[in-house]
Amino acid sequence: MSTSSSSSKKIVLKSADNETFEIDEIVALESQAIKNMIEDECADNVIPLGNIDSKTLSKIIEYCKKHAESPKKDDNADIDEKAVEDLKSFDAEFAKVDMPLIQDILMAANFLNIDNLIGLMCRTIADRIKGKTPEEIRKILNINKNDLLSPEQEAKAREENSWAFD
Amino acid sequence: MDNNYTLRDLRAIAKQRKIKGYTKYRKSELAKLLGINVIEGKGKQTRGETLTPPKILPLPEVTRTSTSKLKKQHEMKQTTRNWLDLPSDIMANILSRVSVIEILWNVQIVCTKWHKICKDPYVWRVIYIDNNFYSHRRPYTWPSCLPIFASSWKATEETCKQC
Repeated sequence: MSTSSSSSKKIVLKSADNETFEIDEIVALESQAIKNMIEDECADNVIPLGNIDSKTLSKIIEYCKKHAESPKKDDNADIDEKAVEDLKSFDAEFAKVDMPLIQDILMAANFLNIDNLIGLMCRTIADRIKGKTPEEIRKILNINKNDLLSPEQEAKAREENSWAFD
Repeated sequence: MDNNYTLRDLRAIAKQRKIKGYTKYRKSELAKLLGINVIEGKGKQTRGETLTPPKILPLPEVTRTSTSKLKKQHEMKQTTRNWLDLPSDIMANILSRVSVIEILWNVQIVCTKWHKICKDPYVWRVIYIDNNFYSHRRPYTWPSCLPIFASSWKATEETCKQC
Protein backbone atom coordinates (compact mmCIF):
# COMPACT_ATOMS: atom_id res chain seq x y z
CA MET A 1 0.00 0.00 0.00
CA SER A 2 1.51 3.28 -1.07
CA THR A 3 1.34 6.22 1.24
CA SER A 4 2.18 9.86 0.57
CA SER A 5 4.01 10.73 3.76
CA SER A 6 6.68 8.27 4.75
CA SER A 7 7.66 10.11 7.90
CA SER A 8 4.44 9.50 9.84
CA LYS A 9 4.09 6.57 12.13
CA LYS A 10 2.77 3.38 10.63
CA ILE A 11 0.36 0.88 12.12
CA VAL A 12 0.27 -2.68 10.84
CA LEU A 13 -2.97 -4.63 10.92
CA LYS A 14 -3.25 -8.34 10.23
CA SER A 15 -6.50 -9.85 8.94
CA ALA A 16 -7.94 -13.27 9.80
CA ASP A 17 -6.50 -14.70 6.58
CA ASN A 18 -3.01 -13.47 7.50
CA GLU A 19 -2.81 -10.54 5.14
CA THR A 20 -1.04 -7.51 6.58
CA PHE A 21 -2.06 -3.92 5.99
CA GLU A 22 0.27 -1.03 6.74
CA ILE A 23 -1.58 2.20 7.33
CA ASP A 24 -0.74 5.67 8.60
CA GLU A 25 -1.40 6.26 12.25
CA ILE A 26 -3.81 9.06 11.39
CA VAL A 27 -5.95 6.59 9.42
CA ALA A 28 -5.89 4.05 12.24
CA LEU A 29 -7.04 6.72 14.69
CA GLU A 30 -10.47 6.64 13.05
CA SER A 31 -10.99 3.46 15.04
CA GLN A 32 -11.58 4.20 18.69
CA ALA A 33 -10.38 0.72 19.62
CA ILE A 34 -7.03 1.14 17.83
CA LYS A 35 -6.75 4.69 19.14
CA ASN A 36 -6.98 3.32 22.66
CA MET A 37 -4.32 0.75 21.83
CA ILE A 38 -2.00 3.43 20.48
CA GLU A 39 -2.54 5.55 23.57
CA ASP A 40 -1.78 2.56 25.74
CA GLU A 41 1.35 1.99 23.65
CA CYS A 42 0.46 -1.51 22.65
CA ALA A 43 0.22 -0.89 18.92
CA ASP A 44 3.95 -1.07 18.18
CA ASN A 45 3.75 -4.57 16.79
CA VAL A 46 1.34 -6.03 14.30
CA ILE A 47 -2.27 -5.78 15.51
CA PRO A 48 -3.98 -9.10 14.80
CA LEU A 49 -7.64 -8.85 13.86
CA GLY A 50 -8.66 -12.49 14.01
CA ASN A 51 -12.31 -11.91 13.25
CA ILE A 52 -11.98 -9.65 10.20
CA ASP A 53 -11.10 -11.03 6.77
CA SER A 54 -8.93 -9.14 4.30
CA LYS A 55 -11.82 -8.19 2.00
CA THR A 56 -13.69 -6.52 4.85
CA LEU A 57 -10.56 -4.97 6.31
CA SER A 58 -9.50 -3.39 3.01
CA LYS A 59 -13.00 -1.86 2.69
CA ILE A 60 -12.74 -0.49 6.21
CA ILE A 61 -9.30 0.95 5.56
CA GLU A 62 -10.62 2.57 2.38
CA TYR A 63 -13.33 4.22 4.47
CA CYS A 64 -10.99 5.32 7.26
CA LYS A 65 -8.48 6.76 4.77
CA LYS A 66 -11.11 8.88 3.09
CA HIS A 67 -12.50 10.09 6.38
CA ALA A 68 -9.06 10.78 7.86
CA GLU A 69 -8.15 12.88 4.83
CA SER A 70 -11.34 14.92 4.94
CA PRO A 71 -11.45 17.96 7.17
CA LYS A 72 -13.31 17.34 10.40
CA LYS A 73 -16.49 19.25 11.06
CA ASP A 74 -15.24 20.77 14.28
CA ASP A 75 -11.84 21.80 12.89
CA ASN A 76 -12.92 25.24 11.77
CA ALA A 77 -16.02 27.01 10.64
CA ASP A 78 -15.01 27.61 7.05
CA ILE A 79 -14.75 24.05 5.85
CA ASP A 80 -14.97 23.48 2.22
CA GLU A 81 -18.55 22.62 1.32
CA LYS A 82 -17.28 20.74 -1.64
CA ALA A 83 -15.33 18.44 0.65
CA VAL A 84 -18.46 17.70 2.67
CA GLU A 85 -20.37 16.89 -0.49
CA ASP A 86 -17.48 14.78 -1.68
CA LEU A 87 -17.51 12.79 1.55
CA LYS A 88 -21.27 12.32 1.32
CA SER A 89 -21.06 10.93 -2.18
CA PHE A 90 -18.15 8.72 -1.12
CA ASP A 91 -20.29 7.30 1.70
CA ALA A 92 -23.21 6.70 -0.65
CA GLU A 93 -20.93 4.92 -3.09
CA PHE A 94 -19.25 2.98 -0.29
CA ALA A 95 -22.57 1.61 0.92
CA LYS A 96 -23.43 0.14 -2.47
CA VAL A 97 -22.37 -3.39 -1.58
CA ASP A 98 -24.24 -6.61 -1.00
CA MET A 99 -25.86 -7.44 2.31
CA PRO A 100 -23.36 -10.07 3.52
CA LEU A 101 -20.50 -7.59 3.10
CA ILE A 102 -22.52 -4.90 4.85
CA GLN A 103 -22.96 -7.26 7.75
CA ASP A 104 -19.26 -8.09 7.83
CA ILE A 105 -18.33 -4.41 7.72
CA LEU A 106 -20.86 -3.63 10.43
CA MET A 107 -19.56 -6.36 12.73
CA ALA A 108 -15.97 -5.26 12.14
CA ALA A 109 -16.80 -1.57 12.61
CA ASN A 110 -18.51 -2.48 15.84
CA PHE A 111 -15.43 -4.38 16.95
CA LEU A 112 -13.05 -1.60 15.94
CA ASN A 113 -15.44 1.00 17.31
CA ILE A 114 -15.68 3.27 14.27
CA ASP A 115 -18.77 5.32 15.06
CA ASN A 116 -19.26 6.95 11.66
CA LEU A 117 -19.04 3.65 9.87
CA ILE A 118 -21.46 1.93 12.25
CA GLY A 119 -23.88 4.78 11.62
CA LEU A 120 -23.46 4.57 7.87
CA MET A 121 -24.04 0.81 7.78
CA CYS A 122 -27.05 0.96 10.09
CA ARG A 123 -28.53 3.74 7.96
CA THR A 124 -27.97 1.69 4.83
CA ILE A 125 -29.72 -1.36 6.26
CA ALA A 126 -32.58 0.77 7.60
CA ASP A 127 -33.01 2.33 4.15
CA ARG A 128 -33.14 -1.08 2.57
CA ILE A 129 -35.88 -2.40 4.83
CA LYS A 130 -37.98 0.75 4.78
CA GLY A 131 -41.36 0.33 3.17
CA LYS A 132 -40.95 -3.42 2.84
CA THR A 133 -43.38 -6.09 3.96
CA PRO A 134 -42.25 -8.55 6.67
CA GLU A 135 -41.84 -11.20 3.97
CA GLU A 136 -39.59 -8.91 1.90
CA ILE A 137 -37.54 -8.01 4.96
CA ARG A 138 -37.01 -11.69 5.75
CA LYS A 139 -35.81 -12.23 2.22
CA ILE A 140 -33.43 -9.26 2.27
CA LEU A 141 -31.91 -10.26 5.58
CA ASN A 142 -32.06 -14.00 4.90
CA ILE A 143 -33.84 -14.73 8.15
CA ASN A 144 -34.21 -18.33 9.18
CA LYS A 145 -37.72 -19.73 8.88
CA ASN A 146 -37.33 -21.26 12.36
CA ASP A 147 -37.17 -17.84 13.94
CA LEU A 148 -40.56 -16.72 12.77
CA LEU A 149 -43.34 -15.77 15.13
CA SER A 150 -46.23 -18.19 15.35
CA PRO A 151 -49.47 -17.03 13.67
CA GLU A 152 -50.96 -16.50 17.15
CA GLN A 153 -48.04 -14.33 18.26
CA GLU A 154 -48.24 -12.39 15.02
CA ALA A 155 -51.94 -11.77 15.47
CA LYS A 156 -51.35 -10.71 19.07
CA ALA A 157 -48.61 -8.29 18.06
CA ARG A 158 -50.85 -6.75 15.44
CA GLU A 159 -53.68 -6.46 17.90
CA GLU A 160 -51.45 -4.92 20.58
CA ASN A 161 -50.42 -2.23 18.16
CA SER A 162 -53.75 -1.63 16.56
CA TRP A 163 -53.87 1.58 18.63
CA ALA A 164 -51.44 3.11 16.17
CA PHE A 165 -53.94 2.65 13.40
CA ASP A 166 -57.19 3.50 15.19
CA MET B 1 -28.67 -63.73 30.27
CA ASP B 2 -29.36 -60.28 28.86
CA ASN B 3 -25.90 -59.77 27.55
CA ASN B 4 -25.20 -63.16 26.21
CA TYR B 5 -24.82 -61.97 22.65
CA THR B 6 -23.65 -64.19 19.89
CA LEU B 7 -21.30 -62.94 17.22
CA ARG B 8 -24.25 -62.95 14.86
CA ASP B 9 -26.20 -60.64 17.17
CA LEU B 10 -23.29 -58.26 17.46
CA ARG B 11 -22.86 -58.18 13.71
CA ALA B 12 -26.54 -57.38 13.31
CA ILE B 13 -26.18 -54.45 15.72
CA ALA B 14 -23.04 -53.27 13.96
CA LYS B 15 -24.86 -53.39 10.65
CA GLN B 16 -27.70 -51.37 12.13
CA ARG B 17 -25.26 -48.77 13.41
CA LYS B 18 -23.63 -48.66 9.98
CA ILE B 19 -20.19 -49.54 11.21
CA LYS B 20 -17.94 -50.30 8.29
CA GLY B 21 -16.11 -53.59 7.97
CA TYR B 22 -17.75 -55.09 11.04
CA THR B 23 -17.30 -58.60 9.66
CA LYS B 24 -13.57 -58.33 10.14
CA TYR B 25 -13.78 -58.01 13.90
CA ARG B 26 -13.67 -60.83 16.38
CA LYS B 27 -16.51 -61.16 18.83
CA SER B 28 -14.76 -59.49 21.78
CA GLU B 29 -13.43 -56.64 19.62
CA LEU B 30 -16.82 -56.01 18.09
CA ALA B 31 -18.46 -56.02 21.52
CA LYS B 32 -15.93 -53.48 22.78
CA LEU B 33 -16.51 -51.32 19.73
CA LEU B 34 -20.24 -51.38 20.30
CA GLY B 35 -19.88 -50.75 24.01
CA ILE B 36 -21.60 -54.00 24.91
CA ASN B 37 -20.50 -56.31 27.69
CA VAL B 38 -20.48 -59.89 26.59
CA ILE B 39 -19.57 -62.98 28.48
CA GLU B 40 -16.90 -64.99 26.84
CA GLY B 41 -17.40 -68.72 26.70
CA LYS B 42 -20.12 -70.72 28.38
CA GLY B 43 -21.11 -70.80 32.02
CA LYS B 44 -18.49 -68.31 33.12
CA GLN B 45 -20.90 -65.95 34.77
CA THR B 46 -20.28 -65.39 38.41
CA ARG B 47 -23.24 -65.55 40.69
CA GLY B 48 -24.57 -62.35 42.15
CA GLU B 49 -23.22 -60.21 39.33
CA THR B 50 -25.86 -57.83 38.15
CA LEU B 51 -26.47 -58.04 34.52
CA THR B 52 -26.73 -54.61 33.03
CA PRO B 53 -28.59 -54.17 29.79
CA PRO B 54 -26.31 -53.33 26.88
CA LYS B 55 -25.56 -49.68 26.54
CA ILE B 56 -26.75 -48.26 23.30
CA LEU B 57 -24.18 -45.77 22.21
CA PRO B 58 -25.14 -42.87 20.00
CA LEU B 59 -24.45 -43.42 16.34
CA PRO B 60 -20.79 -42.78 15.69
CA GLU B 61 -20.15 -39.94 13.28
CA VAL B 62 -18.07 -42.03 10.96
CA THR B 63 -20.77 -42.87 8.48
CA ARG B 64 -20.63 -41.27 5.11
CA THR B 65 -24.00 -39.62 5.34
CA SER B 66 -23.23 -37.80 8.57
CA THR B 67 -19.92 -36.36 7.39
CA SER B 68 -21.41 -35.07 4.17
CA LYS B 69 -24.23 -33.55 6.19
CA LEU B 70 -21.76 -31.81 8.48
CA LYS B 71 -19.86 -30.52 5.49
CA LYS B 72 -23.07 -29.21 4.03
CA GLN B 73 -23.95 -27.46 7.27
CA HIS B 74 -20.52 -25.89 7.33
CA GLU B 75 -20.91 -24.66 3.78
CA MET B 76 -24.32 -23.25 4.63
CA LYS B 77 -22.76 -21.39 7.50
CA GLN B 78 -20.19 -19.96 5.13
CA THR B 79 -22.67 -18.70 2.57
CA THR B 80 -25.67 -17.66 4.62
CA ARG B 81 -25.12 -15.15 7.34
CA ASN B 82 -27.37 -14.90 10.27
CA TRP B 83 -28.44 -11.34 10.85
CA LEU B 84 -29.70 -12.34 14.23
CA ASP B 85 -26.08 -12.73 15.34
CA LEU B 86 -25.68 -8.97 15.30
CA PRO B 87 -25.41 -7.47 18.77
CA SER B 88 -28.73 -6.20 20.05
CA ASP B 89 -27.51 -2.62 20.35
CA ILE B 90 -26.57 -2.60 16.66
CA MET B 91 -29.94 -4.05 15.75
CA ALA B 92 -31.64 -1.42 17.89
CA ASN B 93 -29.48 1.22 16.18
CA ILE B 94 -30.78 0.08 12.81
CA LEU B 95 -34.37 -0.06 13.95
CA SER B 96 -34.18 3.36 15.56
CA ARG B 97 -33.70 4.70 12.05
CA VAL B 98 -36.88 3.11 10.81
CA SER B 99 -40.11 5.00 11.27
CA VAL B 100 -42.38 4.12 14.15
CA ILE B 101 -45.25 2.97 11.98
CA GLU B 102 -43.01 0.56 10.14
CA ILE B 103 -41.74 -0.93 13.37
CA LEU B 104 -45.24 -1.45 14.67
CA TRP B 105 -46.67 -2.73 11.48
CA ASN B 106 -43.89 -4.65 9.73
CA VAL B 107 -40.60 -4.91 11.49
CA GLN B 108 -41.63 -6.41 14.79
CA ILE B 109 -43.30 -9.40 13.18
CA VAL B 110 -40.30 -10.28 11.01
CA CYS B 111 -38.98 -12.77 13.55
CA THR B 112 -38.93 -13.58 17.25
CA LYS B 113 -35.70 -11.75 18.02
CA TRP B 114 -36.80 -8.59 16.32
CA HIS B 115 -40.06 -8.80 18.20
CA LYS B 116 -38.02 -8.69 21.41
CA ILE B 117 -35.70 -5.94 20.17
CA CYS B 118 -38.68 -3.81 19.18
CA LYS B 119 -39.59 -3.70 22.87
CA ASP B 120 -36.15 -2.23 23.60
CA PRO B 121 -36.41 1.31 24.94
CA TYR B 122 -33.48 2.34 22.71
CA VAL B 123 -35.61 1.80 19.63
CA TRP B 124 -38.19 4.12 21.12
CA ARG B 125 -35.82 6.82 22.24
CA VAL B 126 -36.26 8.86 19.10
CA ILE B 127 -39.66 9.11 17.53
CA TYR B 128 -39.38 9.67 13.86
CA ILE B 129 -42.65 10.67 12.29
CA ASP B 130 -42.38 10.86 8.57
CA ASN B 131 -44.57 13.68 7.36
CA ASN B 132 -44.63 12.28 3.90
CA PHE B 133 -45.84 8.86 4.63
CA TYR B 134 -49.14 9.42 2.96
CA SER B 135 -47.33 10.10 -0.26
CA HIS B 136 -45.67 6.72 -0.55
CA ARG B 137 -48.50 4.74 0.89
CA ARG B 138 -48.52 1.06 0.09
CA PRO B 139 -51.64 -1.04 0.45
CA TYR B 140 -50.06 -3.52 2.85
CA THR B 141 -47.75 -1.18 4.70
CA TRP B 142 -50.14 1.63 5.39
CA PRO B 143 -53.78 1.23 6.24
CA SER B 144 -55.69 3.56 3.96
CA CYS B 145 -56.67 6.42 6.26
CA LEU B 146 -53.95 6.55 8.86
CA PRO B 147 -54.45 9.46 11.23
CA ILE B 148 -50.97 10.81 11.82
CA PHE B 149 -51.80 12.65 15.01
CA ALA B 150 -53.30 9.70 16.78
CA SER B 151 -50.38 7.47 15.92
CA SER B 152 -47.70 9.96 16.89
CA TRP B 153 -49.45 10.69 20.15
CA LYS B 154 -49.71 7.01 20.99
CA ALA B 155 -46.09 6.44 20.01
CA THR B 156 -45.08 9.17 22.42
CA GLU B 157 -47.06 7.44 25.11
CA GLU B 158 -45.30 4.17 24.33
CA THR B 159 -41.94 5.93 24.63
CA CYS B 160 -42.77 7.36 27.99
CA LYS B 161 -43.89 3.96 29.18
CA GLN B 162 -40.63 2.36 28.10
CA CYS B 163 -38.31 4.90 29.68
